[in-house]
Amino acid sequence: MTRLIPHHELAIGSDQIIDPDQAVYDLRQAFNYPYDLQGFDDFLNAFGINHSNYMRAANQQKLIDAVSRGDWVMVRPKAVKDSGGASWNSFNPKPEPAPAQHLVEEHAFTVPKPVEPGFHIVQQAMSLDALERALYEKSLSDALRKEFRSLNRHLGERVKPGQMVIFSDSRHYLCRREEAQMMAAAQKVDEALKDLTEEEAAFLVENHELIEPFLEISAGSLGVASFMVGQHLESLKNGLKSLEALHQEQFRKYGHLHSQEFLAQRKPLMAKLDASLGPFIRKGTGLADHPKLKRALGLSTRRTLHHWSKAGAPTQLPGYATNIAGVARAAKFMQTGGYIGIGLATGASGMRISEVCRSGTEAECQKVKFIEGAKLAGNVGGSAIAGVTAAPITMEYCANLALKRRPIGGVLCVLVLSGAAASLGGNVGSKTAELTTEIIYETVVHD
Amino acid sequence: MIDIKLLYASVVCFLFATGFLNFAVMLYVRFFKLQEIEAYFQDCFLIASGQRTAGHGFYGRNVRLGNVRALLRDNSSIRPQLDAQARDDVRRFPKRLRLLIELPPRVNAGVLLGLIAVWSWGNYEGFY
Repeated sequence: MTRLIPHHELAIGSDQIIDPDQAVYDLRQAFNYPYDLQGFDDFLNAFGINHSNYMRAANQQKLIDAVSRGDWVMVRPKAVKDSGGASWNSFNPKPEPAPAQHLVEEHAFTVPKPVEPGFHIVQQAMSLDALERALYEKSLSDALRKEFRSLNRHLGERVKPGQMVIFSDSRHYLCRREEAQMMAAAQKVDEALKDLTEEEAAFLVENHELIEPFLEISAGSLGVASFMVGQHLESLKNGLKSLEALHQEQFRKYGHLHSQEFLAQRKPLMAKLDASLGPFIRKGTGLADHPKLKRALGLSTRRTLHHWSKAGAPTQLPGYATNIAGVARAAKFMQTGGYIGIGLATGASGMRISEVCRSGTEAECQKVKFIEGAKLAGNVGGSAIAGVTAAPITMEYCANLALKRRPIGGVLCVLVLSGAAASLGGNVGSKTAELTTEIIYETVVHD
Repeated sequence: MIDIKLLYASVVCFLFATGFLNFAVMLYVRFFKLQEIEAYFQDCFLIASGQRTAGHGFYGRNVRLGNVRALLRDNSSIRPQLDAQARDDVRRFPKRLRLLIELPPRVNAGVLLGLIAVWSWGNYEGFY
């Protein structure tokens, strides 16, 4: 097995060092199978990166740069040199070296090592039978179906988008810790999804990565921020439609797509799309695929399967299930265009008013009505003002960022910045409106 | 002497009133002036395709106005890539409509900065 080590720890023969180009290629492979590369954890730690965020484009670039610069080198294990039965060996007999691991695995009469378990995230609502048919390339035997269902007891007769489907290699004879952890994560996910309709759950699966940055925002600001998301998605949809229309129109007109007019008209559309497409290419959960398990179990190669360590069970590193409850709540807000977010903030204000009115005096009740109403108006108004102001600025900034460093720029940049602006505006608006109403109320009542 | 708290309250009221009025203007432009604005861009594919694909809803109108704003902005990343005919349209675009498009976002930014300033002032005075 190859190993990654820092350059200053290098104390081996040069024939063991893998050249930087090959090392970069191997590292890219290792992003999908981190457990196959020794020293990967130390490598991440050296850059302050961990397993939950190393798939981010910026972090991957940092890691790749370190290997291509030669700060970290990839080394292959020392080869056991065979003397070919030279005469001196007869005086100094050595034990026979162990056969190379890859030869053992590929030997027809040896059983290969079982593969680590993994999970799949359901993409669309369907029956359990349909899911099984979609997941496996061949029809399931009774034994395999029994095993599949015993591992996935949390799935009902109809599965919802976002639910976790657990897979394990049947060559593991015992129930393992990893499976138990995935089952715990799956239960957590089911708990979060139970209040969502199938459409809301599908929205969650599609936009999981986009929604996560919004989790820290208050309900009122979330309502406004989700309008920004809606607007951005609409803009993206229109950009793609325009591009399609341009291709059709130009092809009808000229019969080809090389005209100067076509290129000139396509440029601004492409510039707009560049600003927003980046992360959409790998939208969804942002978790790496686990193809080894797919091969081992004969699962369809079109389905994405994730390594068990990305499940995010309660005792595990952050993963899919870690923020699922928040993401599910946010997806519900965003699916309804932000009205629920604003409605939730209104509900919270209403509850505070009724609580004071029930226990306090008439004057206190009247005062809290004014103040809570103004606070809500300030929160929504402040986030709207900030959101509208930030949108064109962030678009401009993110477009530049996307053009310079494609993988980072785009949707997340726009959404995080406008979300932060909406949150700041909401807080400022709520505070200033609250104090102002209090001052006016006191002045009017005392006069 | 003017009570400092009353001054604070009146500034906040002014800012919020300006903000809400500004929103009304923005809605007016999107719903009643957009067609007139777009009529000035006869030869621009970006505008024409926006009209065809974005629709007449709130988001759609916002996207269409955003396209116009991107064309009018001096330092936009889109502008240098415009074809010559669209550049003529930008040059011929009337000032009063340009004002209707460009002023509201600036007023908005002013209101936001004002709110942040007032909030900082309140913190400084120990009102919160």
